[in-house]
Amino acid sequence: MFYDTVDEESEREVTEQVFKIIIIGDSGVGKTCLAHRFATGKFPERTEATIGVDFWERKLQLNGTNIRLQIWDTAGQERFRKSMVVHYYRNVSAVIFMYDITREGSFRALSTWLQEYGHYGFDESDTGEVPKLMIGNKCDLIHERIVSSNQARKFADLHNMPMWEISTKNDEELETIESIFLTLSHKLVKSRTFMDRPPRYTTVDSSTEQSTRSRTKSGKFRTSQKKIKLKNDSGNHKKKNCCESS
Amino acid sequence: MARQEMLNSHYSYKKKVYVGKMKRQGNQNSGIMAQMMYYMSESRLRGKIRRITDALEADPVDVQTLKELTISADGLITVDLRCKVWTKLLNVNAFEFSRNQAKKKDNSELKQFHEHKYWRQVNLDVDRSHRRFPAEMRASRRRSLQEQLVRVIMRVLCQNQDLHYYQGYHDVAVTLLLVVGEDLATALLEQMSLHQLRDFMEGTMEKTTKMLAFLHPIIEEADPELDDFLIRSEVGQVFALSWLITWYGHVLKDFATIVRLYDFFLATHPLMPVYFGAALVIRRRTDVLSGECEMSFVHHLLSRVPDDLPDYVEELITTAHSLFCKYPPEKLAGAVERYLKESMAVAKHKQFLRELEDQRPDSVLRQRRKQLALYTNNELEVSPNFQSPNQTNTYTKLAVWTLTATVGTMALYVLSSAKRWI
Ligand SMILES: Nc1nc2c(ncn2[C@@H]2O[C@H](COP(=O)(O)OP(=O)(O)OP(=O)(O)O)[C@@H](O)[C@H]2O)c(=O)[nH]1
Ligand SMILES: [Mg+2]
Repeated sequence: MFYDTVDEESEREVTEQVFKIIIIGDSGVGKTCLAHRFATGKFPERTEATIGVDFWERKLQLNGTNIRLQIWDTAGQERFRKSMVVHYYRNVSAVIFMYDITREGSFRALSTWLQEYGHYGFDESDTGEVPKLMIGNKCDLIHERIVSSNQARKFADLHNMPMWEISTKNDEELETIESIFLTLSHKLVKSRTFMDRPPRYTTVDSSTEQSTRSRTKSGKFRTSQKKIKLKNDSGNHKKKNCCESS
Repeated sequence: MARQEMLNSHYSYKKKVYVGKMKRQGNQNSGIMAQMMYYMSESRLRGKIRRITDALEADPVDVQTLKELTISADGLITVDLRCKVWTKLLNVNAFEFSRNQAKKKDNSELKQFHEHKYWRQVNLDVDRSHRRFPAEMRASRRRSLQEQLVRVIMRVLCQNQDLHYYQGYHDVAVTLLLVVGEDLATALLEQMSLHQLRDFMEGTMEKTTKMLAFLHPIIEEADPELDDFLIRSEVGQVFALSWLITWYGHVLKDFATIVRLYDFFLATHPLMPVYFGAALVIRRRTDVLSGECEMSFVHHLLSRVPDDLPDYVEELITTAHSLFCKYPPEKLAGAVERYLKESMAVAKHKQFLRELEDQRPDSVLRQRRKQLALYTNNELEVSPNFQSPNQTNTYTKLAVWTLTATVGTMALYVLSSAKRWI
């Protein structure tokens, strides 16, 4: 089904690491679009309201390690997250907090989302280290921007999250999106390797924070490690696995 | 003629399916045999239509017989009968509400909509509802229907301030809209919201969660090995959430199958969608058991409804119904008991059933309304849906038609539901 059957044999031999990444944020910010974009490379012409949770998958190879990223796409409406989505906070490898740069409300809601995530007891303090990322979407709507980059960056710094502004719609930004996930994967692989050691070790170097940020032409922040990561991935780049969104 | 046209357009996307099925099955039972079966089925359905019509015309309406016929194979068969019977199954007086509708659609209503706390969410969801409309429908027509859809939903929400909108409610509303047209859909949706959907529309999803929690006890009773596997996988029951709260409207592709299920659920218990879900999971036991016993795998497998479900929907309905009879909600132990005490949908169900017994047939209601009109004079004009069949919108025309005509549907419906019974 969603496992790549062609690869099955080879994967038996080489170990494969599975990472579960959950995307949360208000309804309409573009969570489904982001998951779809990353899993298939395409912007979905049409999405539907997400009811409950759904996930997408993509395989990558990173420094010789096979990894499978499971991107869990969740429902944005408050009622769902309070009763259903929290169930899926468990055992996640990373959390993406997403907002829409054209909608103040979706940005303000991030504090609630963060609080809730912390409240349910899955914050760094007990699970070791769960990286949190913040993503502002719909940057293509330049004239409709309400949330300034500065404002968002301050908030992200306050909560110790790397932050990116993207447009899932804009084809040119596919690279940015890929690099975000690759950076994250890199960090996840690294921290899993150190898993058995005392927690101090695992928190020392996080690739995302260590990397110097540089501004690119498009004005977006990128991590300097991006190029290398993409190269590492090159052999496996086309091996995409997607699950249809329901 | 115009009537024929609009019905064609309504069904055209179903016909495609029908052609495909015909080809496939033509190979199996070719020639005379197929023709014989065709005529046998036709006469069976003709008989069923007659019995439904008789039950509708009895005074008081014979709701019990209507229910049995709605549940049994092929359900209500035609759009026309659906309009009439759904109305009776929900205890809506089609002749009363229509008089109240036309005052609306003005600015004050729009203003009220805009101020409503769910306005944005409703629009966001309706804007993303393309898939729920026939693929070949003109964009302009679809947009007009989407506008109607927003109105249908917002009216019910504005009328009932204690009802909370949930994502998926629009999937129910669109199903009703496509079958019965804007005004009747509003009335039906309101009744459903106060009854079958009531628990989903609370401020929180607590009751919905408890309702979903019935899934495991049902499977456990019917297929312990399978349930044990599901429990070990820790899959939970969120994969069935959209099934329950949209009555499968969100996940099924085939519209004819969706409305067939709506027949079934309208004629039975508010928990029936969960029993149907259990029947579906049980049917797929081999797929489940041969896969990995792991949460994401099982979640993924189960949350996608098989494409060929329309081929065996009648079997699933039969299974769900017998599961319900064998393991009724009251007999399922554990946490679900508490739900039964708290549920408004279930508590109201008994009273609702009693109310259904006392409905007048449409012939009487129509008569009554005419008499009323004599007193209140020009009020008859105010119901565009029932007065002017030349209105631009096909689906409202459909509503006019369904309330006035019963004959001549045969040829059409033979085409449209042939896929089921050849
Ligand atoms: N202009 C623009 N529109 C976008 C972008 N990303 C998403 N959208 C649009 O925003 C709408 C919502 O996107 P979804 O991905 O369905 O939103 P969601 O966060 O999954 O919403 P829920 O499932 O309701 O929680 C869709 O109509 C998308 O086409 C973007 O980068 N730019
Ligand atoms: Mg979504």
